[in-house]
Amino acid sequence: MNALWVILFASVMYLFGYLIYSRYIADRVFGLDEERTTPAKELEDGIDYVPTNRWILLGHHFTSITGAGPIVGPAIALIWGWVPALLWVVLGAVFIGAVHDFGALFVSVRNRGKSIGTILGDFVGERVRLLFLLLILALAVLVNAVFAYVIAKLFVAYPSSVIPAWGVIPLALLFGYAVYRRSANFVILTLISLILLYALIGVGKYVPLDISPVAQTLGLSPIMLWIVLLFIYTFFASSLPVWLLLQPRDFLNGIQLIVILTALYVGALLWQPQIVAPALRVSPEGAPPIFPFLFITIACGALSGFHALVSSGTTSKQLANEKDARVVGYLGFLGESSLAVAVIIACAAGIAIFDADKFHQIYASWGEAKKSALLAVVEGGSNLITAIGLSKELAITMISTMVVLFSATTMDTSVRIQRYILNELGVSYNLNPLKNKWLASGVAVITSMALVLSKEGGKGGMIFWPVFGAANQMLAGLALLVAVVYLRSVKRPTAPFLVPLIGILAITSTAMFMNLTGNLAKGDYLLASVSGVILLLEVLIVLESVRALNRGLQGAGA
Amino acid sequence: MRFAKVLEEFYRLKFGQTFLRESRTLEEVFFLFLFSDYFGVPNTLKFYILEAFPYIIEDFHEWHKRQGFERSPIEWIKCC
Repeated sequence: MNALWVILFASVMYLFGYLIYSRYIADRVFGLDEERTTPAKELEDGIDYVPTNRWILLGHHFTSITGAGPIVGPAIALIWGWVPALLWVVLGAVFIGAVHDFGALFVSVRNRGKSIGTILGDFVGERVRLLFLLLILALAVLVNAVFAYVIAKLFVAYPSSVIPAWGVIPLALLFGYAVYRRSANFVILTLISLILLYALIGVGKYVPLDISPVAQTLGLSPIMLWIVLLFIYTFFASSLPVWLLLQPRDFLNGIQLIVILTALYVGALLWQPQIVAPALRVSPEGAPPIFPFLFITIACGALSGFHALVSSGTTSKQLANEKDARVVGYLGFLGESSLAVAVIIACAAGIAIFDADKFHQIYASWGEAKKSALLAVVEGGSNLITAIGLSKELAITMISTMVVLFSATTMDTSVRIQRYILNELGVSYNLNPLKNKWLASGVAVITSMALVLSKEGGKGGMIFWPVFGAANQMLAGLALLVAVVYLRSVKRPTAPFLVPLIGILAITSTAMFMNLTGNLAKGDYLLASVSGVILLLEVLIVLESVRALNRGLQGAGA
Repeated sequence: MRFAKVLEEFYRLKFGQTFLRESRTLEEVFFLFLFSDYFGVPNTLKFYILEAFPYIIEDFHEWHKRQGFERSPIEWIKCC
């Protein structure tokens, strides 16, 4: 089948979601009111609270929520065939993921732009807020473990990406400094930085940096050496004020994301590749059952709890009009989902443009798919963008650099979030050592590094991916819970949030239970205990949710 | 909207905001030093900074509102 049909199906569903379903949620469920003053206007302060044009805010929100998550998940999930992956990404986004983001944004806007954690404390109870913090902590440890592996794997597989990926740091510093000095026109500065970034990609192609000789001398595998180096970098980047100087990188990355997404779709439209992946494979070799594991393998792109942090953290304070929440919250998520669709096209169709057999080599078994799914993205993605006139080598360097950059910013942010949460727990429970920023960063980095290195010297980092997906969706469950409790308190219909909430809790707990028992039987105690921790948090959340909903019912009855 | 304007807004949201927040923190501390007398902390440099007052009077209004004082907390500065 031609990949164009995939694009057509996704576009039609997205249009339905945006034009019909999101409008139903906005008018019938939320009752958005354009006359109501938003926090951005009420508390305007020129920095945190600023009414912003909705399309610009959409650009900011979309590029903040989209990282490397929607790239890795769908690539692995193709092992079960392209149809289930596509259906879950598109329908999940339209009916669950985008609704979740829209809901988190709405609840935050109605509560003076407070973050989801604070609103949870106010509406559901302090104990749930603590669970929320612990869940983010667990999620951040898993994010670091997985993305450190992703970056290390790409650096080893494509040494040409090393120079551009690290070169962006001094480039971003120079750009930030130039903007600060206002020595030149902003548009020109941005253009120069982008040209320099692409020049670095060109340099990377001619000067690949392979660290295997150094790793051999030290007696380590190259992947392990990169992982250690990455964590050393992250430790300093997240604790020193340097992170402030690294901010311009996010700006350049945001623009990159839009460039690369456009290039992938233009490539797909020009090549019109045939899909070589099987439509459905019920039991591929070594893979866990498609239900429930497909649903937790693809989290970002279909439903992601991390977005609620962005929706309620920064975006809700910038919304000029309540009605804009639909454009920013709902459409922003569809943007992320469209990246997941592009990845599915790249891996299921783009990959076979030059080598028809490549797909079957990578997706021969579950073990192989988990190890090599990233390579499928780089291969397939670079094949697609050769349509715009790039040489294959240059396209490979470009795609691998982008995936590294997105993963690196995700990792930086996640270590910083871990540090803040440890600090907050230190203050709440009066644990002095945790209040120290160096120690908190150290704990964050060491736990993640121990997790990834304990699996075959870093080679098995991807083994934690399904657990990461489950934790991410449970976090989404908490935001859905807040929306249900809030909507109930203002006597509005709750079904569009309650049904996904029950579904998500059921799917993630089944998956984690199966992961726990399966790994215990295999004797893999590390993975079993990680799944156990997540399952325990899950049970507590379910209990608290039931309590909160019961209380809401009694309150409504009284 | 002009392209340059779009890009600048995007810049403000992506990282300009962080820098502004940092510089505002510094500003808050600076004001606290300037007016520490009125909060019970002796300020030995009081006479030397009097000269700065005309330059900061507009920011002073914003500052006291941010600190939660609806009206000027200092009786001889009638900014509102």
